[in-house]
Amino acid sequence: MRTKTNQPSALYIHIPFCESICDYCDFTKLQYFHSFAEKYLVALKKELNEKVTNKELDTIYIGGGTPTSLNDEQFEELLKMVLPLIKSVKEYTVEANPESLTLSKIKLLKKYGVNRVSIGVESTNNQILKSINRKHTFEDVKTAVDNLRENGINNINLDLIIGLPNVSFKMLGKDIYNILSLNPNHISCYSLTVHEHTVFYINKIEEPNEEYSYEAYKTINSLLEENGFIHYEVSNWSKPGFESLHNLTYWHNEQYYGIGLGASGYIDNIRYKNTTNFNKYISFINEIEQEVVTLEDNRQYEIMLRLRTIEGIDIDAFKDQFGYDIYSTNKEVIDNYVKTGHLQIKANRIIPTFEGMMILDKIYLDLV
Amino acid sequence: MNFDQKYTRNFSIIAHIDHGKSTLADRILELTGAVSTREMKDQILDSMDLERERGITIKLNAVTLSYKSDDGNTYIFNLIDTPGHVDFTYEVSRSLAACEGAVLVVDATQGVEAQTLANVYLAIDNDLAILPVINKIDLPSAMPEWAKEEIEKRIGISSEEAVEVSAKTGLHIHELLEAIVKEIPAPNGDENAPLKALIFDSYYDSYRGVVILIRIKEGSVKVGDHIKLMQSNKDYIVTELGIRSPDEIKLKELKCGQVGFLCAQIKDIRDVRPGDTVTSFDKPASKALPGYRDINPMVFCGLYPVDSDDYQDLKDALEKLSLNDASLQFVPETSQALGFGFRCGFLGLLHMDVIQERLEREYNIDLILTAPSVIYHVYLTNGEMVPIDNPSKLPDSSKINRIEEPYVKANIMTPKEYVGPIMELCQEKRGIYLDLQYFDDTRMILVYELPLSEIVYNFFDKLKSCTKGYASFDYEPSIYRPSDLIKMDVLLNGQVVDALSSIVYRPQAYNRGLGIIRRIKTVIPRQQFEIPIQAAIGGKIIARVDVKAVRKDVLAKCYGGDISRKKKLLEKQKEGKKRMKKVGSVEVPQEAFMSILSIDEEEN
Repeated sequence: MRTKTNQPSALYIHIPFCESICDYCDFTKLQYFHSFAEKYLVALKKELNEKVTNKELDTIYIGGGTPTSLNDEQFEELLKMVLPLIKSVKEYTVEANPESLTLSKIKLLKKYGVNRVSIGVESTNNQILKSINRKHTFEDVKTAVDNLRENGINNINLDLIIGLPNVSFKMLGKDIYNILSLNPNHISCYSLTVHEHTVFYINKIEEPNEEYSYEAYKTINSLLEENGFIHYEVSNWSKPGFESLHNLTYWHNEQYYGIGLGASGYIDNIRYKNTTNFNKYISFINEIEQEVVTLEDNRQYEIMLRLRTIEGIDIDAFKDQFGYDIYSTNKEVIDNYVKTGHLQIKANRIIPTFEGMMILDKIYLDLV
Repeated sequence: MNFDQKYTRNFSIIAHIDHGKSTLADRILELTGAVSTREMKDQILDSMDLERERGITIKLNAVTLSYKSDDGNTYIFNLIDTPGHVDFTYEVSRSLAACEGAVLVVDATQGVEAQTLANVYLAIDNDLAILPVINKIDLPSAMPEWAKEEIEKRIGISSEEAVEVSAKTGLHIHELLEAIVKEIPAPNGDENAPLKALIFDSYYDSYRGVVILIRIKEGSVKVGDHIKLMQSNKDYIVTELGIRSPDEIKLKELKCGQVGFLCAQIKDIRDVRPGDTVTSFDKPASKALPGYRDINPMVFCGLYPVDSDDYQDLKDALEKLSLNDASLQFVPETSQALGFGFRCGFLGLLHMDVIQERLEREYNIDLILTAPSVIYHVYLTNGEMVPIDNPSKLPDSSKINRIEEPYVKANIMTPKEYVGPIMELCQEKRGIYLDLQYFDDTRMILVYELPLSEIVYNFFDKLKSCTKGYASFDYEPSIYRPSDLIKMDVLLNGQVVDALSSIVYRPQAYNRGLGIIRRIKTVIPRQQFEIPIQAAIGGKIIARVDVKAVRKDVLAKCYGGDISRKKKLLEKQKEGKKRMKKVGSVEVPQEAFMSILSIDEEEN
């Protein structure tokens, strides 16, 4: 049995600013102000330099908030501070809102080595977008995607939210059709979750019910599979070879650096979360919450995360790490799931089917 | 303490729940200086936490106090506590039999309640002097004159001398103590007759064996005496005698009229039965004290550990509990669904609840209880009678000639506007009408004979809901009567779950069955497949509901920060899952097995 001693090869950077706050968002974020962003970048750079000791990273992901809410100078400064780390990077993603992904920012992305952009589309219906306080239209998305391609950034992810209020099944179909028309190589669809401290929560917006959410995923899945996408993770579809390497780090239960306000990371068997207090962060007071990951925790994480992707759990590798055969130990349970079409045993791996991915929490509880 | 019968007063306090019995006992303890306020936990006579939490007294207790009266003499008071619930009527009567008098506490705002009445009658049956006390007169809503009228009208005793007190503030407690001296007679047993001591309580002490609480009715007993328990016919040598004040004071001798404890290296509490008579082995009394009755459990259920590894722990715990509780019975039992466990007998539902809670709380064992059952007398075609306390053990119907079930005589006191609904309820519960009488201008007493199984089922709840909680109720065992009864099985995912079988009244079987499976449906966690739940009689399905399959149960977003959060959430769910029992491929929570009880036919 071994524990993780190698350094993380993935880096997440959090930019907490947004031009406006979306009604459903519960990420660490605040309204963009120039002066705040200035101070933030100083603190961010400090943390980055202190924490990221591995200069041979595989993936970088700048998320938010809205990284593109920074002005061009700040945006460039951000990309510049990351530049020394991109030498061996295979995938370098920046999240963007369609309306703030200007041509000038796209040129900066290209200039500093960003090779993947993830756009928060959420819905392709302009009325719905307006109703949830998004400031873009579907036309903005089209423009942004065109501009990215013209500037040589072809690896594009589009995010969609399922179960927004007043979205009918028919509209959902239209969303998928619209998204496909932009020919992205990666699509993420998230069933709406209503978190505390959001406008949705206050307005008592309900999450889509199980039946709706299941049917929505099923519909999306069949549409996307017909169009050559692979459902490689619960909420993610990609063209072959375009799976998000960075996000796979999480689902492979591997370590990663997390930098920035409220960012989470996993280094040296510790899962941590930075302070979410902006003033403290910019004053270099980073009170982190941390969880020491024991072998037992790690086993549970492994089951919880690995089953999220179609790679599933490699029975031998699991045994090497945790000292027991997960299949034979849970044979009755697993065989039952195989029988009901939720799991498959293939090439000595336990692999979830689409139906299985939809009920992973239950499967997890049966396996830990 | 010198002892003289003349200066002794043995008494109990009778009160309805919440009318302030324990508080009053505490005040008496304070004023007699037996314990200081500082040492006192709230309400000292209720010694188990559980009792205190529920505000009820389960285990009897007695305390000896010394009181210097205004007449210049010092009196010995023996205050004997009584439990206050229908499950323990016999024990109450034995405690009362140890006394010459009873302090009747009536709430100045509530008046006389049915439960109080039942105990007052027990006291009168035992020839006790009744000393009425009006409590809670400190409350603005107190109506002491009205309460006195109540006592006169309903109980038929004079309330002229009733002392008005506030146990809470301590007001007039002194007057009460003086009244106890004056109104309650001194014991007057024959000091020279052969020993006759009434056993009114006992408990197990791991160093001394069973400690018996006794009241010496005649004669006396000394350490070293050879004694005999007349009903159980066992003999012992007395090793220890004493009183509790409330700390133990050891004595060489207990004399006629005294209340105290006796130890004699007795190993098994079952040999020490409440109501039994202790006498001298060499010079025995010719006749035992009157009023002894064997007490038998009336309600039975299966007790199983959720985790089968806890079987031995459960066994040890039951053994320990039964050291102190002769009325708790248990024998090993196996269930196809639940594995190894015990069939346990209880005096009633409260007794069952208390045991369950103590097992879970004090012994930390997660339990599954099957629905309680009564003992059915099953007469086979060959003429043989088999008692059945577990529905799944009911013989095949082809072998059964008839089934008889136990009835109880229930006294229900209610404001008169609820008489209609109660009669309807009793009718629905297959009750046999016996009597209806005016209790006073506003209240009536209804007497019904009801099947005990219906009482166990949901009679209490129904009575509460149809009378907005205004009716009160007590019962005593009556006789066995033949009934049209059949066994109903429940199938989960096609498999009969023996622990969910019940014996039901045939004409109500369909409604009962549907009610049960609907209730079970609400507690069975969904699986990845559809689970049919069926009710069946003699292999024939009479009702069915389905638990739909889980289609989606996964967190859509699981990135950086979501990961730890998600695991914590799952951790909690895992804890909940631990308390479930796997029956075939279906997980069944504790509540499912009790759902047989809590269903409401009107839901149908």
